[in-house]
Amino acid sequence: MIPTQHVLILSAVLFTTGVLGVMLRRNVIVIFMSIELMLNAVNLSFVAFARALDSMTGIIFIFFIIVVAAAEAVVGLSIILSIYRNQKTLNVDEFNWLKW
Amino acid sequence: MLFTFYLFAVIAVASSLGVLICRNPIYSAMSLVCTFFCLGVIYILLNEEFVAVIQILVYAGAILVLFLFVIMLLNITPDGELFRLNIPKVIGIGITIGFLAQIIGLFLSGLQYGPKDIYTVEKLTEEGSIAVIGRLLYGEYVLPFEVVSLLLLVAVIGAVIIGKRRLD
Amino acid sequence: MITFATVSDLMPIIPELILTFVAILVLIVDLVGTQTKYRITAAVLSIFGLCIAIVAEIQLFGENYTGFFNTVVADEYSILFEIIYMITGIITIMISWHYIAENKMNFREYYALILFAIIGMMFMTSSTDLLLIFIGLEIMSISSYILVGMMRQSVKSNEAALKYLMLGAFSTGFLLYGISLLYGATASTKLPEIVSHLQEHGVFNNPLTGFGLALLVIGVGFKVAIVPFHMWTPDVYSGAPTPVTAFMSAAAKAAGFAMLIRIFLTGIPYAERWDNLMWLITVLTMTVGNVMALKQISIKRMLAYSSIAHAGYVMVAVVAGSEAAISGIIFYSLAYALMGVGAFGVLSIQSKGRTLETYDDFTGYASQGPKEQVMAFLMSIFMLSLLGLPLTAGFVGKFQIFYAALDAGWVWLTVIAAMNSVISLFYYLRVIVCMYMKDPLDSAVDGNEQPTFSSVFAISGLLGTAIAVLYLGVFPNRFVELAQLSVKTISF
Repeated sequence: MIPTQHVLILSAVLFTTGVLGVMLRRNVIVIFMSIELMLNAVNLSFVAFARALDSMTGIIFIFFIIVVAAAEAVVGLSIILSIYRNQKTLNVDEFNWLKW
Repeated sequence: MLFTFYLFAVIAVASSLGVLICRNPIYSAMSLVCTFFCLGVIYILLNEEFVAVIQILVYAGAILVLFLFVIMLLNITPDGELFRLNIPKVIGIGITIGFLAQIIGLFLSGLQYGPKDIYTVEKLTEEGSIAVIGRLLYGEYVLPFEVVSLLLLVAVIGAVIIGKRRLD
Repeated sequence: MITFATVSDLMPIIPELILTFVAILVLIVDLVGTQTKYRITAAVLSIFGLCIAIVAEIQLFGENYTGFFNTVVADEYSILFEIIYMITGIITIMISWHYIAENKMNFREYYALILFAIIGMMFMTSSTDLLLIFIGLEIMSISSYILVGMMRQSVKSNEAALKYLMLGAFSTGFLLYGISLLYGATASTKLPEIVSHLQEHGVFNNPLTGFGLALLVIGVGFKVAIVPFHMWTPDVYSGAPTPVTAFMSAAAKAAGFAMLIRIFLTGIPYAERWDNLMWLITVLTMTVGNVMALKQISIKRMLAYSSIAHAGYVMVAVVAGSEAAISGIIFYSLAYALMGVGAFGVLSIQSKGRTLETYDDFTGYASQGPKEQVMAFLMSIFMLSLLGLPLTAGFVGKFQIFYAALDAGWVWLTVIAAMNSVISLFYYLRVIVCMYMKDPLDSAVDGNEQPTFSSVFAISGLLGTAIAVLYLGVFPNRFVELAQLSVKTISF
């Protein structure tokens, strides 16, 4: 059996990497990928807990997280497309309005 | 099995760092695909085959392809300068690393899990995990399942009206 | 063993079903007609649907239906909040039509998206399962991202949408991680089960639950914009189309607080140190919001910061946490929804073909014509109510919250909150002084215009809002009683 703690640690590391990516990177698309990474880390933690608890709730939750991630990606990328059409850049530091 | 887990865990972490440090967004996207694939393998090791399949099909197959499409459509060049640090960002990094250390310490110090449910690996193998998931989705979780369709509808509307090339 | 939902499970979600039906109908109407006259059809249809849904909510009041394995409840608490969202929705639609026509935002999906956002808020409020709360939250958020980015020709609107989406998705990550840790510790995502588990085992005995709740606070904190998670608010609020800002500041914030109460104030036992942290956050939220609002030159941005400050006042009640405080939050949400939507609504109405945004635009506003006079009067009412002057809804709301906080023994917190109200005096009164006591700038005087039908429609909506603000300020008893009653019956 794989120890649950180790899976959870992996998920925490991936989550932190995602958070760091959001904070550090300046390319909008890469920031968006980092957010997807965070959601994946959450999925992993749900699977780990579901296995440890012999429960299906976590597994069901994952499907909904995947749907939400897909919906966010679709809307986000279309906003990115529309911004690129107006601005010709995807660097957050070059946006006039967007001060992180 | 344990060795396989650690192997893929290390690859997953390495490729997730790849997302963070690659200058070229395409390389970042490919690293992300690699991470998703490793996670899929780990789901299989944890006896969640269906989640693994969905992970590969939806995340790697659909969402990431969407990212790649957009990257290629916009013809994005590699970033000149990877990070630009300033004081708030350094504080943020400090907090994040502190959070990671704290939570790893917490996980290693021993956890109290909640009460166990009935869906053991044996039961799932006997009944088939897809059958159990299907029954739950149409039984106990039928309302979230229906409501999430509204979410998809909203996303479709949004993609059409924001992504549309020009006003009518 | 398998259990299925039955038709009777649909009872508590009848208003949601009605709104869903109407929203889809609005989308279809949009397909049928491409001419201008259909635009009003969509607006009127949406308002009509919202009215029917309100009637349905009133019918459900007191029945306490539950359904879908107790994951949705139609208790008085959620019904009151849902009515707040729908009233806000009606006013928003009334002011939107004018704005859409003037700014060439040629999308009739707009109304459907507002309805979808309201449906999301309703599920967020009436559910006791974190899964459904999360899905409702996402429906609301994604609709808002789209609404914010709808003025595609405007760079501001684009960037505001992007920023909102990025930070919204980021906070969703924290929220979900928190839920997963709580799930690990309690083996459930249903609030009643989580609460009973935590009451039995304590929150801080198991590090998983402490961490999980902290992450949940971060996730929810982003949505209701409390300091230090507020940095998106000014940019998003000032970049978004103004009616959308009105809608977000009023309804989305109320929904965030409804969710916050449902998750955090319905029986989870806390320790002392938790209180201190929340105390600090509350004080910061009020002070940062008010001090930053002082420095703004754009009224839209000033109102955005003031909405942060108002979230701080609500947090005072959250810290107090008593029954009186929760009923105060319900009343304050209604009051803030009305005055917030009203104040942003005034900004959304153009005067002589110009968009009004800064203090300079409002200089001498009251002396520029009959329509401007009415608008200046309405704006003054909303400003005085935001300030918390007696005889307005804002006063009653603040009074209830401060009284509840004092009653629960939070003297210093109440004093700081009262001092913050005094700071807010400066920027709210500045608007009124600008409008009434200064001569208009030269550029503003020339030009004459006939009021269009759409602007009359919008102004009548604002007039109704102002009357409601005054009515709630003068005769609050009935609503205060309703709020108190609903807190007593808040169920799981």
